[in-house]
Amino acid sequence: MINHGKWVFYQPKVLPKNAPANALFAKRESDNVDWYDYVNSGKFNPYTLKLTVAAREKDGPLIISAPTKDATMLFPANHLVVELNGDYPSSQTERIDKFAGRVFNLKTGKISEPPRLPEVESVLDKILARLNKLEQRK
Amino acid sequence: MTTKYTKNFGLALPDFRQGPWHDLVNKDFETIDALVFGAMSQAEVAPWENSHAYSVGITVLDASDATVWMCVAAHTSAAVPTTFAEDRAIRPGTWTRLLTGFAPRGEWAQSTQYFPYDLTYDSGRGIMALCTIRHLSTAIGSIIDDKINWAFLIDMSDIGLMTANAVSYSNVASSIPKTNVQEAIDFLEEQVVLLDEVNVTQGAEIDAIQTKNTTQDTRLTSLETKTTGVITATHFVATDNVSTQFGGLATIGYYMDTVNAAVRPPGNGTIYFQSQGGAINYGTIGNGAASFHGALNAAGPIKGGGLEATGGGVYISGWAGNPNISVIFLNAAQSHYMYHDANGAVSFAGVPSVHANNGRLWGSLDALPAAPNTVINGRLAYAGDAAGPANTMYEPYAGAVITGMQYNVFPSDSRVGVAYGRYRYLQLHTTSWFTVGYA
Repeated sequence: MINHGKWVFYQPKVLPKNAPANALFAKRESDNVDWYDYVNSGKFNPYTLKLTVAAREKDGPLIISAPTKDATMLFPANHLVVELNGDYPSSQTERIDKFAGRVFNLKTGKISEPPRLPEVESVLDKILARLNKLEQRK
Repeated sequence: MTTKYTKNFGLALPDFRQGPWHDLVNKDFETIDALVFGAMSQAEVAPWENSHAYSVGITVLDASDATVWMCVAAHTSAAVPTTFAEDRAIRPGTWTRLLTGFAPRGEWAQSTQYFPYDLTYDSGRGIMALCTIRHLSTAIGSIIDDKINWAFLIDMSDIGLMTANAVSYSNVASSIPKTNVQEAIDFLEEQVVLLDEVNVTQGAEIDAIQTKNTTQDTRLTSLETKTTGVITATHFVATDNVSTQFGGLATIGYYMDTVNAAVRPPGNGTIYFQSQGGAINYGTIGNGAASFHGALNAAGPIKGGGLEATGGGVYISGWAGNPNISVIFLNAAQSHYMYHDANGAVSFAGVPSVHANNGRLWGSLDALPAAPNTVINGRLAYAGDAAGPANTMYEPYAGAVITGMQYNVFPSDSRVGVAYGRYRYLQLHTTSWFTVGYA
């Protein structure tokens, strides 16, 4: 596993040559390297799986946003970028079905099932319960 | 008074002193003379003898042909070994032949004494004739030249040859397409001439082959015995796929297994391509440190598992559709790529990126070459799936657009749920991919 660091939005003072006027830019938080320079300079192995991961809530687990083999398909602003070796589905659709929304352990590189939705108490059931109590008073 | 006649020979019996009495009587005597002569001439006739004196009226037999002759001039016959016929020829007019019927004289002969009623023939001319007057036959010619003295009983001399075209025959067995002898002969002669011509032609060809065979034998013997030097030949052609073999450890060989035929160097050898005159640099093809120097000019497609150029380049020019354009075609039937199998950017025209000012990968759907900042492709790249918090606008993937929605319900209450959106970034490709948003 390779951790390519955390990336954040930024706006360069001068647009790179051939960049569209409305291009979004990201830089690595640790060294301010531009994402486009980074992704086009051969930093990624074309055969590995690349992930953008981020916590959805403070102190929450890292959730996988985009899984892909083509690093140029990523835009990692507000995300960590990690690179994993191994055998992965060949199509992008299969990769999304298999990895998107799963929990990623940055220390071990393991991918696990997403957290279960919290149990919510039904408001209507609470109202009906209180109504039943009032009706039973004599 | 009517004259009467005898019963057997019709002799006249005239009355005495009655005219023409003496005429009738004289006629009777002539008849009697002939009868008596005929009766006596062949009775007790002695054979002719040599050196014998014969007087007039003596009758003799020629034993060689059973003819009877009467001496009409006294003489002494010739001595032995003269025959009677030879003696008669020596002294013609000394004998006269006595006849009582037709005398067979055999084949007509020149300068021969013939008598009335002699029967002779000319077998060569198909003539059979009866002598009409005593004569000596002509000294030259044939019986035709002596014709005035003969009555020809059969004469086929003037029939001539029967024309062959009037003679039919059966062609059932031979199948010759002719029905008369003349045409059949002409046909066969024509066949013989044709066969002779074929024979002459084939003979000439055989002579040519023999001559060529001798020449080739000489050349082959020269090659077979050559152990050093250079073998010079117009070309070598192997039509049986196996016969051309250059043996040895460092020579080119033609190898064939049960499936494939190929030019292969024996063992770990190398095929060398060296320019005329023995240039220092030469190309090689081998299974070791293979290299190929110089140009590989191919008028047609080069097919194989791969084309690898190490230390050089693949130079393509002169596309048939436009000689000013060089094209690498990728088969459109499936997904094909021009692939750079390494980390880092692909250097294109010496620049470490694909750049519009320096060249680019050109797609067949492009109408014009790319200008700077020209967008040549676009896509919506997956950013992630997310559900927003209640009562708050939430952009988990800033700049992305929502391309899908899903509503998940809580297991405890199907009336309560969470809406999920699928976010994708819009990416445009100029000289590389850029993510865009926030117009």
